[in-house]
Amino acid sequence: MTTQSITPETTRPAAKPGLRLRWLSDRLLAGTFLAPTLLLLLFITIFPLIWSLYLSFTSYNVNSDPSWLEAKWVGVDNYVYMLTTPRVWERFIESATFVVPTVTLEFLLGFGIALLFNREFKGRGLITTVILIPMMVAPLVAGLFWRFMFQADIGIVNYLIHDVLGFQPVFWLTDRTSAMISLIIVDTWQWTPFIFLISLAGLTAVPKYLYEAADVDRASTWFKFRHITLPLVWPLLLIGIIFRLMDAYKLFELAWVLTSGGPGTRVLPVHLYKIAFGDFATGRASALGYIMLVVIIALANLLVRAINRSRAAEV
Amino acid sequence: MNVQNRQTRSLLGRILFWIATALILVFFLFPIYWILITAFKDRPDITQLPPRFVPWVDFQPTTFNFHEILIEMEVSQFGTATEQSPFLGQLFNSVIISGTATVVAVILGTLAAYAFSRFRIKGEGDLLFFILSTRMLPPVVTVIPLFLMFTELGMRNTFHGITLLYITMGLPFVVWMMKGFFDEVPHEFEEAAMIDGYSRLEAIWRIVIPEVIPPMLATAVFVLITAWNEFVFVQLLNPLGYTTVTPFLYAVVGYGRTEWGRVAATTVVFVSPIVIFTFLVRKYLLRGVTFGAVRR
Amino acid sequence: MAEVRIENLVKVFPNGTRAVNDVSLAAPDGEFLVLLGPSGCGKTTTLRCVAGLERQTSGDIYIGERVVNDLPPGERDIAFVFQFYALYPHLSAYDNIAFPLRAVGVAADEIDRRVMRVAETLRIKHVLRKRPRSMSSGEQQRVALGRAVIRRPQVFLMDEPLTNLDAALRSDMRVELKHLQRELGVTTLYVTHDQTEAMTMGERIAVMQLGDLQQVGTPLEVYQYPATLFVASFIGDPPMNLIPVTLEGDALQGASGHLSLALAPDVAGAIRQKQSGPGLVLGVRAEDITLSGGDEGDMRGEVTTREPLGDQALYSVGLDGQFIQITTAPTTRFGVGDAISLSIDRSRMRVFDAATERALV
Repeated sequence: MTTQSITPETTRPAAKPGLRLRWLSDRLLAGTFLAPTLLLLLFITIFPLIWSLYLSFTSYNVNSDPSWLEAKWVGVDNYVYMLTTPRVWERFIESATFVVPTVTLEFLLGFGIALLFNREFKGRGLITTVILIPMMVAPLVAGLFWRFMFQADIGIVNYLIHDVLGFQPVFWLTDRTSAMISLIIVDTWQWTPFIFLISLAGLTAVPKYLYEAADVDRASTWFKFRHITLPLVWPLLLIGIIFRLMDAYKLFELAWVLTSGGPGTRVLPVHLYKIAFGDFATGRASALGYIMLVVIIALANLLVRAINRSRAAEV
Repeated sequence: MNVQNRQTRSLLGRILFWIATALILVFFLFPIYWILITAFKDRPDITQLPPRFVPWVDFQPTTFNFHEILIEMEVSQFGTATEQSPFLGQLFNSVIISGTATVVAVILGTLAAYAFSRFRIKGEGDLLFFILSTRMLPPVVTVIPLFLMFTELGMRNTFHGITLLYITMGLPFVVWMMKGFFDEVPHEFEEAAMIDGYSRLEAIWRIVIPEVIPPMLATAVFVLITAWNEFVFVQLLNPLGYTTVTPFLYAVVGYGRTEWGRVAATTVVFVSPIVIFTFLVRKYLLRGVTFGAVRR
Repeated sequence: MAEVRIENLVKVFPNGTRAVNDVSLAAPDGEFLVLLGPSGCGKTTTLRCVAGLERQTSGDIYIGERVVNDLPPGERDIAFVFQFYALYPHLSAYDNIAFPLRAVGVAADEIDRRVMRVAETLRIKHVLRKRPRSMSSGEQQRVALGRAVIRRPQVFLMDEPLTNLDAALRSDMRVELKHLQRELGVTTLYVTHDQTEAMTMGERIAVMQLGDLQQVGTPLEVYQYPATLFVASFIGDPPMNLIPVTLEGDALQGASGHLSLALAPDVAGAIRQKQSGPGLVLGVRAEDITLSGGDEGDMRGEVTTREPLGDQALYSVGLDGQFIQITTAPTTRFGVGDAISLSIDRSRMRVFDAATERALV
C-alpha cells in the first residue's frame, strides 16, 4: 500500500436530479406498498363475504327476486333449515367418506413412494420431477383424463379389467359406490405426488449421521424408522396432511367434471353449488356456505394446534 | 432408507425396486400419455378395442383433432357443416387474462411482501394471517357473493372483472412466498446502498429486486398456473364474454356424444405449458405448493 | 474528515429493550475508536444510530459540526463495513466498489480511474471481474473495504468486519486495516467483541456493557486501570484477579486472614472517603504478582496448577475458594502443592467498590 495511491478525493452525496423521493418516509412507503393488496382483498374477498352473510338471513332468490334489497329478512331460518335437513347431513357424511379414505391413501402411497425413492438410483431427478406433473394440471383436466379412461364401453380401465384380467366390467361413473371410488382414485392420482414431495423433502433432511450412530448401536431397520425417521419427518408430513384435508374438503371441480355431481359423489361443495346455481336459493346457499366455513375454520384450528403440539414436542 | 446398504443391496431387491418404480410411473404418467396419443388418433382409432397404444405401429397419427379445435370443427349433428372453433379465441383470453393477472399480482404482492419483511407493521402477524385465510375459503362459498357483486356492478363477462379476481386470488400467494424470499436477503444490502446515498426505493429497485428475480419468476409461474387452471369462477362469472379455455374444455365434454379426440387435443394444447412450467419451477415446487410454509 | 460526537444517546426498541443507555462519546478527527463489549452490549446499536440505520430514542449525534439526527444515512457522508460485508451478490467486485460513486452520479471514466486505484491499494485487481460468491472471504473483505474507502467519506463505521476471517488472515487484516486508516486519516468507529482487535487497533477503546458506557481510554489505560469491575473482568487474558476484601485500619483484609495488604495511609484514606459500603474488591493483574517460597508476602496459598506457556509460566493459587492467576518468568519452579506467598505491586493494583462496581483508586 502506498500513500500516494489514494489522493484526497471527497465525493459528498449531492442531490441527484431524478426520482429520489426522499420525502417518502419508511412509514409512508410501508403504507403505499400494503394498500393495493389490502384494498383488493377487502373489495374482492371480504366485502362480498359480508354481503353474503347478510343474505344468509334473507329468503333471497337470485332468479325470482327483482333485487336483493327487497329480499325478506327471515332471521336464522336458513341456518335452522340447513342444519335440520337430513339431506345436508348426508352430504356431510358423503364428504367425509371422500376426504378420510382419500387423504389416508394419499398419505400411505406418497410416503411409501418417498421411502422407496429416498436412495440414489439412475434417473432419480427426472423421475421425481415427472411424477409431480399430475398435481400441476387443473383438477378439471385430471377429471377429463380419467373420465375418458373410466368410460364403461371404450375406456381403457374396463379394457384392462374385462379383456385382460377377465373380471366383470365396472360402471365406474354411474354406480353409487364405484363413482365414489373413481373420485378417490382420481384425487389420489392427482395429489399423492404432493405428499410424496413433502415426504421426500423431510426424508432427505434427516441427517445421515443419525443413521450412522444408530448403526453403531446395532439398531434394527424398524427401530431406525420408528425412532429416527418418523419423528423427524412427522412435523413436515403433518403440514402436508393439513393441506390435503382442507383441499379435499373443498373439492368441487373434480366431482363436477367426473360425474357432474351424480349419485354417490354429491359432496358438500357440489351440493352447495346446486342449491346456489341450480335452485338459485341464494339465501339458503349463503347459509350453507357459512356453515361450511365454520367447519373449515374449526378444522384448520384443530390441525394447526396439532402442528404446534408436535413442534413443541420436538424441541 | 439410507444409502448405507446401497452396495449390499441384492439383485432381487434391485429388481423389486425397479418393478415398483415402473408401476408407480405407469400409474402417474399413463393417463397423460393416453391423452397425448388420443389427441393424435383418428375418430375410429379412439374407440377401437383392443386399444391402440403405440403410434405408427398400432395406428397412424393424425393432426385431425388439432385442425378441428384450432381452425374449424365439424358440427356433427348437421352432417358436413363446419363452424369456426371458439377455442383459439378462448386460448387467447386465457393468455391475456392469466398473463395480466400474474404480472399485476406479482408486482403488488411483492411490494406488500417487502413491507412485511422490512418494516415494522402494527399487527403484522394478524394481517399476514388474514391474507392467508382468504385463500382457505372454499371457492364454491366465495363464488356466490362474488356472482352477486359482479352482477350488480356489471363486472360479469368483462376483462377487468375476471382479471381483478385472479389478481386477488394470486396476491396472498405472492405475499407469502415473496416475504419468505425477502427475509432471506440480508437487510444490510439495502442499508449499504442507503449509506452510499441511494433512497430506499432505489435500494429496493437496484439491490433487493435483482436478488430475488429467480424466486420471483417461480412465484409468477405458480400464479400463472393457478389462473390458467381456474374453472369455477370463470364458468359462472364469464360465460358469455372473455371466457377462458377451461369452460371450453368442460363444454366439449358436456353435450351429447363426447368427441374424445377434440377433448384430448384441447387438453394437450392446454396442459403443455403447465408441463414446461413444472420443469422450470421444479426447484421451488415444494415451497410453492405449500404456500411457502416449507422452505427448501 | 470530521469529529464524531455522541451526546446522551438513548435507544429503546419498540419491544422495550433498552439497547443504549445515555451514552456520550466523542472521537476526534482522524481517531480510530473501538467500541468493545460482549454481544448485546449496545455497541452495534450505537454504531447503527451514528450511521442513521436506527433512529435514536433521544440524544444527539454530531458529525463534524452538523447535527445528523434527522439525516438519512445517505446524507451523513459515512461509509459502513458490515460484518457479513453485504456485498451485492449479483454485482462483480468492480461494480460493488463502483456502487457508491454511481449513486452520486460520478462520470464513468472517473469511476474507472478510482476503482482501479483502490483495487491496487487493496491488492484486489485480479478479482475485479468476479462475483462475491467466487471470492475467498479475505478477498470479499477487501472488496467491502474498497467500497467503503472509494468515496473518501467523513467517517468509517465498521461492524465486526474481521469476524468472518480465519485466524491467520485476521491478524494480517488487522495490520492492513489499521495502516489504511492511518493513511487516509478518516475518523473510524470500529465495533468488535474481540479484545485483541481492540487492543491492537484502537487508539482509544470504549468499553460497553448492557447499554452502558463503562470506560473510554487508550488500550493501556483500560488494561491497567479499568474503571469498573466489568472492564477488569472483560479485558485481558487471563482477566484481572478480583478478590473480595475489606478495609481494616490501613490494610486490605481477605475473608479468611490469608490476605493482608498494608496500604499507604493516603491511599487508605482515599478509599475510606469514597467507598459506599464496607465491601471492596481488590483487582490485580496476573503479571503484577510475584511469587516467593517464604512467608513474607501479602497472601499465602498453595499452588494448584502450573502451566508452562513457553515465554512465561501461568500459576494458579487457591485462596479462600477462588483461584488467583499469576504469570511469572518460565524459570520459576514451584510445584503443585507447594505453599507459597504472593506479593502485590502496590503501584499497579486497583481497588473497586463492591456495591457500585466502580474503581476507587
